[in-house]
Amino acid sequence: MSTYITKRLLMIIPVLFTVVFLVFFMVRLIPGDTAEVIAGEQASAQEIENIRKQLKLDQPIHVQFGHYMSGLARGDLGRSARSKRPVMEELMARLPNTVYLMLAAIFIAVVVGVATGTISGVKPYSIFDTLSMFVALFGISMPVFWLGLMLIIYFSVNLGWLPSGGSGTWRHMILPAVALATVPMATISRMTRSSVLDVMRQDYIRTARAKGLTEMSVVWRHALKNALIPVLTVIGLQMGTLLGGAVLTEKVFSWNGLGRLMVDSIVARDYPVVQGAVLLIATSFVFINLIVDILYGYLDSRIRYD
Amino acid sequence: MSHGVHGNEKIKVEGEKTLKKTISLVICLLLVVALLVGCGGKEEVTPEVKDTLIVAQGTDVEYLDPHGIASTPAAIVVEHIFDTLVTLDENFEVVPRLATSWEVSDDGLEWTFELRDDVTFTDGTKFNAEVVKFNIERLLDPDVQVLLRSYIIMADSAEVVSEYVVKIKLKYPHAPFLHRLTASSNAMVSPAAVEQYGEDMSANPVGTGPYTVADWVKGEQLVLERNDEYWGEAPAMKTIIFKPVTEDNARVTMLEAGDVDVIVRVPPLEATRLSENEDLVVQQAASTRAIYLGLNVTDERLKDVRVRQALNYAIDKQEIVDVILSGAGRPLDSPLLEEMFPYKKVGPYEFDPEKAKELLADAGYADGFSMTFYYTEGRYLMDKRVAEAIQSYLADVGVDVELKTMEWASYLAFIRQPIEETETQMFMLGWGPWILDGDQMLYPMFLSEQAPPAGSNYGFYVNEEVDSLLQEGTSTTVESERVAAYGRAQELIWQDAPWVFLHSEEQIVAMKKGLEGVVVLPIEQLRLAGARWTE
Repeated sequence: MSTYITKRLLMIIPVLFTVVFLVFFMVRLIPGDTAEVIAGEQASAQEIENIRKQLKLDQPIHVQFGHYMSGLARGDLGRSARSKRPVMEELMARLPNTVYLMLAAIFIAVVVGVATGTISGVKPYSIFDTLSMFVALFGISMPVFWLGLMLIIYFSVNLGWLPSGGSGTWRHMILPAVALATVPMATISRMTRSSVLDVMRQDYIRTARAKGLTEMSVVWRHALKNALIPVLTVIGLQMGTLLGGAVLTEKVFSWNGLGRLMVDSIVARDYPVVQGAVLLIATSFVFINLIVDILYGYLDSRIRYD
Repeated sequence: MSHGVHGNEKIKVEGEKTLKKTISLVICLLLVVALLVGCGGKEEVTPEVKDTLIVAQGTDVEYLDPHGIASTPAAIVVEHIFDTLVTLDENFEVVPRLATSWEVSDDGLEWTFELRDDVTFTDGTKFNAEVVKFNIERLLDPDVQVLLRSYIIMADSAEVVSEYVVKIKLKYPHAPFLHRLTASSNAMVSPAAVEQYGEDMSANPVGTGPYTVADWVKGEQLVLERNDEYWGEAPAMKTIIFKPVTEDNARVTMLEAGDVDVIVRVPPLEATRLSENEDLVVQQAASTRAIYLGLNVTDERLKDVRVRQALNYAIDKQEIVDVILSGAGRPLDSPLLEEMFPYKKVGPYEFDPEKAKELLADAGYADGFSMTFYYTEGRYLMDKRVAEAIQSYLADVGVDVELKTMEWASYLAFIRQPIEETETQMFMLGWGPWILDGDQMLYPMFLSEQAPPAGSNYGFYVNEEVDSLLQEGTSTTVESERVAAYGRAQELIWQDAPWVFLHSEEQIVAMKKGLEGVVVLPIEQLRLAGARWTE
């Protein structure tokens, strides 16, 4: 097991290096220039040149990359071109908000998804099943920004129940969490259904029923326990989708998290912040995957890594 | 899965089961805890006495070191934490602030300021001539990122005459210098704070202004507390909270819901509706932001002045203002705006499509021509609809324009290409100077040597007479000569029509009823130090 973990940890290094490399060059390929954007329209050419020099953007790109990598090796992500604050500080200020949003979304997705999926799986082809699977299909197919706007129009503008955007209180969290939860909720629901359906046909379920257990106890104690192992895989994979979805959701709901910071920084060509944010998200993604893989080992004794 | 389990194997399975249960439990608990932490703890504080003001701005304040700012939202906040030497009053006159009086030498090269002797920075540093010297030197230091250095670049050095008298020497005579000192980017910062915080100065702004920063959660809110040691009249509001709310309609909704007290940049369409709300007051004020259609005068067709004039006649600016901007603007009738010194009415180009067609025919384009029209979306009031309206007006006189939109950063890079590389033909832009002296409008926009990449003469306009008039206007300190030179320059520029002169935007600010003393200046400034609740 420990060899496996070590191997996986070592593999993270080339993965993250590739991410850093690609992002570094990709943000610089977008037309537009950091110095021009932050200087504003009233700045003179001389001042723009000055800013470029201060941000070291006047140096050849491979030199810039070298600087960046050597900073990175020392754990220094550089400073934001716009706010001049250390990128790490900027990211850490937003990270908790994104984590809360993701946890709230995954919580909603798991509770609702597993519940509807189980009921559908136990009573396949019932009205509930047809209906919930239709809704789930709808949920998977819906772009999150569109859903977000619809939620805002209905709950904030028309009904006036919830704030349309911003962060700060739990009321601000409801709409973005629901929007973000939709895709994983639908995926989890469909996965749970098929997994429960599969398990319910197994011999040991028949045995459990034959023992005279109540249906509730058959489903709850025997079926679900095994049915949920593949669901866990899906939840792990969904964390990645959530990180991506968070970018759009945060923008739509003005949620003060990493995603919005990243979008705003792309618009302003604040390269160090974009690079830092992508690196942070990629790192989280890689580690979440690793943790999920390790968890299988514990939850399903058939899976062995060594 | 195995059914019959015996002995050691059973113990192992039992053990794994417990482990599984524990893990699942821990995960669930973590989720719940995280959810609770995320939800609670951040409840907004509602004040008991009404001495708090919550303002929603369109964009987040990024930077609070005044010398490094270039955005209006930052300038608004800076004006409450810092003081400039001189400032603009409600009648747009330059009045004393940290400086009590001033005089300029006959050659226009030496400006002597007498300073207040009762001012202290919030870190205890005494404000005096040394501080002014330090600030001028910092503003000129090439290693300091001063985005609006063009507002101070004419300064050469500062000299301490006595404790409260400072002399600023200029590199060349520059008449608008006093006006330039009103710009928020030239505010006075505490030398001790610069020494202490260095690059992190922005996170720890120390000024002499009526407020200090109490809390700053980037992207969420910026809380200002009253500075009880303030040298001027004590502000009524104890706390001012600035919140960034990007979406125009979200700001409106928040004001209607009572979550904020003042909102800026109200969409014109919403203004009428808000003004019908009895609990709200809508204030509309002029702004110096001029919106224009830049014309690349090196283009084969646009180099003919008749074509450029024809384009000016072809567009109904009044209708654009009335219909698309719901009245939140004024058609331009000069390259300068009424609030600026020394404005001279030289227009407008009346809407006259027949005349436009005649001029086009004279220039040899009786059948019109096609052209590409670049613009950026979401930056100026109703910009997309304005662009579409222009397209249809031009189509009526035979000029087919293809609309191309670009995101701001790309657009800026595109427009700023030098003459050899430029691909511009027609492009829509806005220009909002931070001072009310016409120099900041005319000089960077119409002087031939300000063509990209040097400055903002993006259409490569050249008129030697205009050049010399603008040089004269900026250097002579005799006011009547400035008025004459700029007056003539405005006429010439108007006739040459290097722009299609569109309109200036008006600022729409909405606030709760019972709030008084909010001052909106044409330089897109919001002054809240005099704000108070009356009910």
